[in-house]
Amino acid sequence: MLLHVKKSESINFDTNISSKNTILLLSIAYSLVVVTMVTPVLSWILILALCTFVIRVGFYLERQKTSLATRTVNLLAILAAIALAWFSLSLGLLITMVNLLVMACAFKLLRINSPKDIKQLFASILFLTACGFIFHQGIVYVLIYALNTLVLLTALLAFNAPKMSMLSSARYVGVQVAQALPIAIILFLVLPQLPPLWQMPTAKGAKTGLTDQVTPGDIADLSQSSDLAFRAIFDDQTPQANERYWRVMTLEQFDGKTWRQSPIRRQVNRQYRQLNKTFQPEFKGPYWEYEVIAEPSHQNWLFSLDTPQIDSQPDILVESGHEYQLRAQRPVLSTLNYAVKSYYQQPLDQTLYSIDRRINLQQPMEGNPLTREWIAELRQQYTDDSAFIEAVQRFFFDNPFSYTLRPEPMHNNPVDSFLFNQQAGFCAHYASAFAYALRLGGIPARMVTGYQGGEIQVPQVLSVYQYDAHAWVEAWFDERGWVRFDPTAWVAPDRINFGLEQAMREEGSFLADSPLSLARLKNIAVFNQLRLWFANIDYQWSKWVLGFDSKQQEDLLRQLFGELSPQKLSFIGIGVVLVISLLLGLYMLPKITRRHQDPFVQFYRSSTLVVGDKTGVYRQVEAPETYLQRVKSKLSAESYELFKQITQQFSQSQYQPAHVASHSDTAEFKRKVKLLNKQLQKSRS
Amino acid sequence: MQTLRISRFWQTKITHWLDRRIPPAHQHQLNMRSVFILPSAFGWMYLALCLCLFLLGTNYQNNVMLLLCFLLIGLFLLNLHASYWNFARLNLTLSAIPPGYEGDHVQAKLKIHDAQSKSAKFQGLLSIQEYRVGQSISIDSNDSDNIMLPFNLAKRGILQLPRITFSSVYPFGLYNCWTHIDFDRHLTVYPRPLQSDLNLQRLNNEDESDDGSYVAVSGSDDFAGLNPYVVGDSINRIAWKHVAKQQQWVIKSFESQTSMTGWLKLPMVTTNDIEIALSKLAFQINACTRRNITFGLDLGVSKIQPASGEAHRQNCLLALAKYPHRGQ
Repeated sequence: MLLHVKKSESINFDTNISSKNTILLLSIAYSLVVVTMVTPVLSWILILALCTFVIRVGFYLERQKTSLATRTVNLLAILAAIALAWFSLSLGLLITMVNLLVMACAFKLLRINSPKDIKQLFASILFLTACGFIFHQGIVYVLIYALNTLVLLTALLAFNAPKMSMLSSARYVGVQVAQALPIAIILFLVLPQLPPLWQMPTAKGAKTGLTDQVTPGDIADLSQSSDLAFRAIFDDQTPQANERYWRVMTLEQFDGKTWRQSPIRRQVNRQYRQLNKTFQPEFKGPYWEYEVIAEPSHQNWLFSLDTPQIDSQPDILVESGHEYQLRAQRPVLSTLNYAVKSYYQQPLDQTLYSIDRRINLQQPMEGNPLTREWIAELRQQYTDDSAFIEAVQRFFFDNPFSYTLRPEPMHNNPVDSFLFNQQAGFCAHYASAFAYALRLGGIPARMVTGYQGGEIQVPQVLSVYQYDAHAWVEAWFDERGWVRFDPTAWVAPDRINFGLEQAMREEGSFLADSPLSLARLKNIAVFNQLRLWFANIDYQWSKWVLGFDSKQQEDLLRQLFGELSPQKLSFIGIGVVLVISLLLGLYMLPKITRRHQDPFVQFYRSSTLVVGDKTGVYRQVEAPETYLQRVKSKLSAESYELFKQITQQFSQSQYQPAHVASHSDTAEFKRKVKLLNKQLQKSRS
Repeated sequence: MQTLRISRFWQTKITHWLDRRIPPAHQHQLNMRSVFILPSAFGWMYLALCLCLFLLGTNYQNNVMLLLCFLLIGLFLLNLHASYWNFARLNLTLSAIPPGYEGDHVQAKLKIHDAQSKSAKFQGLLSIQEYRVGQSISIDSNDSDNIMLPFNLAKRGILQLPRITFSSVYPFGLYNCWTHIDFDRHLTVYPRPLQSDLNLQRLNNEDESDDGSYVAVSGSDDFAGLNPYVVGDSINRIAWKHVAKQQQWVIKSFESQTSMTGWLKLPMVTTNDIEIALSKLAFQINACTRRNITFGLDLGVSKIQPASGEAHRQNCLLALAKYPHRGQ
């Protein structure tokens, strides 16, 4: 071994100076990711992660110098792993894995033993950042994660070039990423958008939107959320406010407190599916045609106006059930586009009445005695169905019912307590009480949950938020099928015609929990403008980036290249490879040519050419000083003096070591050459 | 045994191929011929990560995740060029390696840039390793253009400096760029001086007989001054007071008035003792030079005519270094 290597130069890699910046950047990126994952990550792991960050900052500022013993860290890690294993039983696979990754990174960050650890940390945090996209795909989060990726890459660069200044590292990474972006976009547009290869675990905690059971009180929680539920883009006209009933779920089982999906209905649907019989009602009459861009809800429910007709696309696989509701076969994990036609005059009467009747006359055996008594009396009085319904309706008009998002809790006999004591509640209370009353009166009735309303922020685009969640009632009439009743509308017509915000103006409970929400500040013109502007950007983002699917991809390629034949597709593939190589070559071109570009050489050459033109004596292969002497007699004194200075400065620059010449030197040299140019031209004319 | 022979066969093949591809020279400007580039282990891990992201993005139908994946792939492609062009900026020059005694470390200056060149410089860490042997040294190019490369002088003789491997993973560690360079330099290793008495034989005239014709010089007559410490000097003669004061090792030297001339001769010894004999000669050469004694060196295989001074000393030591190894 001839080359002499001093052994173990860095004994303690953990607090080593040369990788200080790298580790700090890694911990910043790590904590940034963890902070955006507050919902899926367990709170104690969150605290652990933040502690790690604080310790790392301590190391960086040299407040703390002794690193933690490996044994301590390992012991802690084992304890934490056992704790996580315990929690994992209730968390589900995806969330457990994310938690595990966050935890593992925390312990790795606590004790960094070797360069290998830094590389592993980089890869793990990058993967964690990508996992963030499962939970958030909004434009703000995407920007945060993009920033995070830049920080990570800078950390990696700082690791491979420790003495490079942070600023120039960051600039270098910025340039590299900017150059890689066009390649990424080309790949994104052209690589085929594949359908999911296998079923992935979904996050229980990540589910948003309506739940599959309603105990009056649940939807009020949703009304505090200003998250977007979905958007609908209409081809021509948009429906009126009171026609915007977006069906999501039909709940047909009532136990006195809670409405659920009926188990019988589920069984029937399963049988149909096994027989491969899909529900295909006939459609007649006018329709609205629109495209829905559903936000990821981690649930199967889709949104549609009555009566929906959908062409199932191969990679979405939408099924329509006998309750006239749409359901995706896989949970909606990312933005999903689907096109629907809604025949709004088509009655909902094409289902099997015998089954619907059996399911929707079900009622709990006991509870709510006052309501039973009242309906029994009322039904004796009004034997005709329509008259009976009218009488129930009148009860709501005649009594001082009010609409509120802050009802008193009703635990025992909730329908009794709502109808005869409190007389205040929101849509779920009204729908529950009314549907129950109809069932008691022998009329098949059910609760439908979904969204009512929506806001037009971009022309033709209806945005529906979680606070638009609503519940209403459907009752069966032999001649008309299922007919919609909305008892909330009798009590609070503003809720239907102008939306939740208007209805809650006096109570002040609209988004009361999030005072800074832009949706709350609609009244201030500037904020509203800002909100609409954001909404528009977000809409474009959802439509063109998040919602980009195989269908849009095909459309795009067809637009660009005409009808797609296999041959043409292979040409496109080759073309893409060529374009990418061309791009790479283009990026490298300045690096190759810069080798010969010394500003001094360039400007000196141009000045000799000018002098040669003027004097007729051109510079041959000779030293600059020799040439200066040769042209001395043929130049004016003034020009000679200037050219002498130029020559001197040039020679000086050539014998200086590289990069000593400052920018101002170069600038001054350039100025002189230009001046000489001007002088000589003037004297010629 | 068989495998060893095969691997040695391939090794010589590769060495010949390298000699043709990157011929020996003092200065090397790296280029397409001399730079090798492949994804590093970390690069493969990165690609595996990209594949994971692609699967995850496809299964969750998550377009932003796919975009991130494609961005990372784009970076990977770009880095092939970035890594190469950064590495190809190296212009390596190794200055001559100063000679030294066996067991010493000597340093030779390695320039990684051409001072005249105005092009952009190599960035990041540069790993330097002896071809296929030992550990590597990491050097940060932002520190300085000139690197002092330390060499171990392990064994007496004239050694051809083997190929040196330079490698870099700048910027993101995704690719490993490397080259094996032969600087066409030699390591000159003198035998390590071993204290002995001066054994100077009188200038031989043809007629004189060998016996009794040497003059023993005991160098401890008069104090002549202080000289810097040289390897092999007796510890007894170190001027400890000065060491404490000046932080520099000096020895007291004494000089006998008699100025002498003579031959230093390699005695007839067994092959096992030859290294010791050479070491003793090295000490005597240094001692004679210090005292301005005019001496010649007779190694049997080669002879150096009497002279004195620093250049003569170097010549003599070189002759010792060149003395063939025996019994091996």
